[in-house]
Amino acid sequence: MAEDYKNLTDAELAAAFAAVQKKERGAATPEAQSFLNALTSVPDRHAQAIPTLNPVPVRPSSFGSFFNALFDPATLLSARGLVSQGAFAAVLLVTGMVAGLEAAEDPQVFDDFDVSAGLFGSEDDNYALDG
Amino acid sequence: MAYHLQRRNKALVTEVKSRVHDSQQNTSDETLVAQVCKGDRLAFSGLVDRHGLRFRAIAVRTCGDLTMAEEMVQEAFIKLWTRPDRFDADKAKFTTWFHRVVVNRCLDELRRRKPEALPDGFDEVDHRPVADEVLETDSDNAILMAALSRLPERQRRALTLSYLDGYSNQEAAEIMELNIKALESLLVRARTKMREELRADKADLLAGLV
Repeated sequence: MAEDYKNLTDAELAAAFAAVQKKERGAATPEAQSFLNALTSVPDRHAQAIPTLNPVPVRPSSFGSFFNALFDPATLLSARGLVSQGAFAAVLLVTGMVAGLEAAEDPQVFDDFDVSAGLFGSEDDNYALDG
Repeated sequence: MAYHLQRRNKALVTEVKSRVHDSQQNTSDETLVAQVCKGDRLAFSGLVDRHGLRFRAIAVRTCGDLTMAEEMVQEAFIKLWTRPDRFDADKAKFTTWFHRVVVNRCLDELRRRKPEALPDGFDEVDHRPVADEVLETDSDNAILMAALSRLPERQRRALTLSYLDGYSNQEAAEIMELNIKALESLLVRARTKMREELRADKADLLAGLV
């Protein structure tokens, strides 16, 4: 009996499995064919959803848009560009002057900014010669 | 006249399909997937022809139910068509990647369909045969499958991948996450064990093949 199983070759084993495989796949059956047809028709029923590699456009902020428009190389030296830049410089200048005038009306002394001014103060009485 | 034109068109379509099929014979799976990424339906059809029934058989073995298996394989192929970019040819072969997709999908579905607890007092026995019994009773190769089912899990898996699922040793090793030498020695042990299991039934088995 021991000789029997030793004689079952790899080829015979492979042939036996091949028979099972053939039956399992059942390629020739109408059910198998209709299954394959259903798979083949997948592209007709479903659209592809592959993400594109194009970067998402980033919209600049309104401040960024303003500066882009102001210093756009295409219009930088045109009459319209020069007028815009001049107007922007004027607005900036006037804003600075107004801020300066307001500061002059209400002068501040150094102690207003010296946050440590009161930390190391000493009482003069402690050092009076006449005690 | 119309009938003749229709027949000629049909013959033409068959011939074109046949030529496309011939040209795809030598194209690797990975190349076909790259073509699917570009929306090539014929490449997709080539993959279906090549692997559709193989993965259906694998899914049936995993789920134990033909209808469910067909659903799972169809879902996997839909995923392959809609998102072929998810396959990375640098990381794995198409067959080993798709094997995991199909088997994981089946296992997820089995977990999802886990039977709910029966109501109190309901003790009716389900007499329907389980998958192994179906194989044993409904197949001329029952002896072989019964012997296979008696093998230790890893040996059974190695033999199944190599002989029934049709994977090369390299692919089977990748699926089992083994190196090729380990798989080969596992196969040697599995074949020896199969011979032991089959020795009493050898005559019946060989008679069934003729």
